[in-house]
Amino acid sequence: MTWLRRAVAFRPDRSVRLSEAQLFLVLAFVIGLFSGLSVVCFRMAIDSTRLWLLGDTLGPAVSRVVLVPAVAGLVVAAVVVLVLPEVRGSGVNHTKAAVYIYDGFIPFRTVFGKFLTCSVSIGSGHSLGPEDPSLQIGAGLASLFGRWLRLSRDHLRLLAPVGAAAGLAAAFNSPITAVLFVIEEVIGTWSAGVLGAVVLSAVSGAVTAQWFLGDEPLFRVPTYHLEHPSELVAYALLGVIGGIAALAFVKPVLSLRSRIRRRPRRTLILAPAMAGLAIGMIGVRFPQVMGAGYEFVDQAMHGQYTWQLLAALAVLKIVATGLSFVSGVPGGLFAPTLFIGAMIGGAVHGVVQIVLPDQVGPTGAYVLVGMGTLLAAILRAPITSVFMIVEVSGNYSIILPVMISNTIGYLISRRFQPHPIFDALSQQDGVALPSMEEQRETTVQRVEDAIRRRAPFVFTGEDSIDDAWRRARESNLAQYPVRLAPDVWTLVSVEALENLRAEGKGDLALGSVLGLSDRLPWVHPDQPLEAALRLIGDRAFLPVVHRANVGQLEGIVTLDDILSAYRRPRDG
Amino acid sequence: MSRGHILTLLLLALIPSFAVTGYLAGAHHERDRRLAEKWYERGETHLREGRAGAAVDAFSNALRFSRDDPRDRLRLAQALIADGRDAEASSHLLTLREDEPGNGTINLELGRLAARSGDLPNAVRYYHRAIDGAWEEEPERWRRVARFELAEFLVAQQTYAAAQAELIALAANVPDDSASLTRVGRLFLHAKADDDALRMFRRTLEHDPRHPAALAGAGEASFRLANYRAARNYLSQATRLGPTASPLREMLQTSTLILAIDPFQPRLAAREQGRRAAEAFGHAVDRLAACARELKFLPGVLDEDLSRLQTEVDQLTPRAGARSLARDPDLLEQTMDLVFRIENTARQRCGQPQGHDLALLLIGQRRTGAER
Repeated sequence: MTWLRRAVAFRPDRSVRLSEAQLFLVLAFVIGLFSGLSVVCFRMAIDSTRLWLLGDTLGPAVSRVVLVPAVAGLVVAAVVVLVLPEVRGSGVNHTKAAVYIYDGFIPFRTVFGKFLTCSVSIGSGHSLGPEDPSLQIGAGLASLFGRWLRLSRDHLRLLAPVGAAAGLAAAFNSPITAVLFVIEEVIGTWSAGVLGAVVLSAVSGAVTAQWFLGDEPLFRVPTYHLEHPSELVAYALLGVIGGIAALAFVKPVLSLRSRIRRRPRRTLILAPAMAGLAIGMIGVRFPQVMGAGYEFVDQAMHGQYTWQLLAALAVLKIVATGLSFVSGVPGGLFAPTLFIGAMIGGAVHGVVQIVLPDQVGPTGAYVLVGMGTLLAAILRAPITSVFMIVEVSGNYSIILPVMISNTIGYLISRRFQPHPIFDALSQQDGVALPSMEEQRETTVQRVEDAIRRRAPFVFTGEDSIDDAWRRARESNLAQYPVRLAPDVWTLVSVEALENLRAEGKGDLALGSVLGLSDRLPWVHPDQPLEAALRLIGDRAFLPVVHRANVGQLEGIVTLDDILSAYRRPRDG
Repeated sequence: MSRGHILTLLLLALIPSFAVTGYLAGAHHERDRRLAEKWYERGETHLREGRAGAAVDAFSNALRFSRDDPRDRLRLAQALIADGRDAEASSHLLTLREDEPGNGTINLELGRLAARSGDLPNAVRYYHRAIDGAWEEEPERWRRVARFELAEFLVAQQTYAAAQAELIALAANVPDDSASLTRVGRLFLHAKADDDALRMFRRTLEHDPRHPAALAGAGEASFRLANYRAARNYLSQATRLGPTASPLREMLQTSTLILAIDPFQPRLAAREQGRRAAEAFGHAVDRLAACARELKFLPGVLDEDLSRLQTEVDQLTPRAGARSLARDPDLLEQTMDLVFRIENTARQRCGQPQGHDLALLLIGQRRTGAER
């Protein structure tokens, strides 16, 4: 029984000492596992709720279709308004708020409430998706574990995105997409420190979900190949239409939501029920718009709908999702966005096939590209949308049309809707979260923006003090850069030269009297100006040297130069 | 509690968490499996009862619960085909083919769809993949099915060379039952491979000498191969066994007539040769006159050929008596040559002949083929 005695005597705090950074990584892995398990349970809860409320057919009975979303909306609204107001919405903004405002704190009741309310809302047919709530569930679990382990504030703040990545990876069965989305939309930076943890949690979350739910791609599409280069024009057209559709969704949602939020509590409780009723009435004729709708996306991918029906479904889904989201029903926007994009893609394919029957690829390709386009245009995550399409379909050959269509859709959406939807929603909630999009596009000031023109003289270590003094008198600068060695810079002042001459050291070389302790750090022209600001300290200037040859002086920057550059108005 | 303890507890908590999730997931999958099976059975029932549209809905439901089970997707595709929705079916089949490029059933269905839309290259490609592909049950039977369908498609497309190649391969693999052999024989006939057709029909007759279809097919093949004695034998047996199609009766009549009027039949007495040649000459002259009369009434029609032939007839008529022809083999050759040229020209100028003229035309064609 020696092993038993050893197990009982084991004291982890004595024998296993992890630094907080190491603990962070281990915790990321554990969070990934728990998030994966939670998302698996969440998905099963949604499925079970749907089966219980709407039955096991893709076309439920009329009475159920009309009444279930309405009644469920009423129940969910009561819970949200009276008990758990923090579970309203998709969850992405709340996760960001946790990172930037609440030091990574997400109450566990939020996780629990999100799980329950979204299971009911999505399962009852409201036009929302499970991915965003999964993101928040993962973030909430991460926050909980971080608090239990009493992590530092910095690490606690970063743990929420780690959990978010795990939740999203498990929901989409796509770790790359989750990592990119969290980096692109939640954190906004590619810091190596957090990237490793995010990747680790995303992978462990995805693997856990695959263990229980299978590893099939979300969508099955035959291998795509470009039929004719002119087909790219069709994809460009899809990008234009997708951009317009994104605006048609986002603008009304923002407008209506701001109005409804000002309504009294009674309205906030009744609004989801009314939205549910409206969705139910649409669902009588078009059951495809209810719920997340992935099974119908698969049908669209295989050409089972006419282009007219696809166009109608896109419009109706915009309406239904808008109603659900604006009324305050908790749930995500990922799935409806993909659905709308899929239908638009299929509709464009149908039209293009009439015009160019011999030069058009399969329906599935257009459906896929449409999904990516709307994701880029509505959620404004262009990089994520490209990789998401490739990852969920397992089809790399689609990447060129995706990039073209996504870019066009994204640019159109940006042109007419300056603020991404998540940022706008935060502003409506009175929360000023940083905009990742704005951060990406903020011009970074660089050293070259502040660089003073090259100093008149550059002395070397071999120059004599007398020579240096004579040359320095030809200019009015107080100090000059000195290159002691190919990669060692320092400075010398005119006053120091005069003193050395007075001591009779005029014949000596500068290198023999200037010590390495006076060496100057240097900067490069392309470095952020912030780097120069951190390095300059009390020094008179910093040498700006060429990247390929640090002995070649490009110029100098002083503290005044740096501050002047910051004060100058930026372009764009 | 220290961090180490908490972390240890978290790690330990994974075990029951995985266990509970595993249990729930197992129950979830089992429920989905039952629902998928239920909808699958409904789909099969709808298909059996001819309700393809309802079958599509049922298999769609099954696919939703089975999480992309290839069996359900394949049945959905087949239901779509039954419902006349070929494009959608093709899309599903192509998806399936991504995972199982060598699946015989999938390739066969794709081949059928391509054939239905007249897409020759893809039809050939998919049918070949079906023939070479993997089949779970009765592989030889399904490969034969694929070969037959491909051959029939190629014949319908009039790509006879490709059809013949497929039929040769099929003939090597077809079981020795009369129905299959006869079917292959008929396909050979349609593919203009008369020798191979005759060989298949003879194989059939080895097993069943009184097989009506084989006798008729052998008769037709023999007729096309200008073996009129064999054609008469086969066709007369076929007609004795039961009613035959009109073209076959005509072939029998023509074969019989040919044997009766051909002066070049082996072991004929000279007198009989002369008589037949003289009779043939008479028929040819009548044919020439009738054709000339027909053409005279057509404006702008040149009749130089017929005039030339008429001149030859006028020169030969005094000498083309039965006795002269019986005594002079060269004269007989010359006369019959003129007869064949008359019949040929008349066919080109005045249409397909009948009766004696047709028989003489075929005799001439056979003779020309033999001389070559």
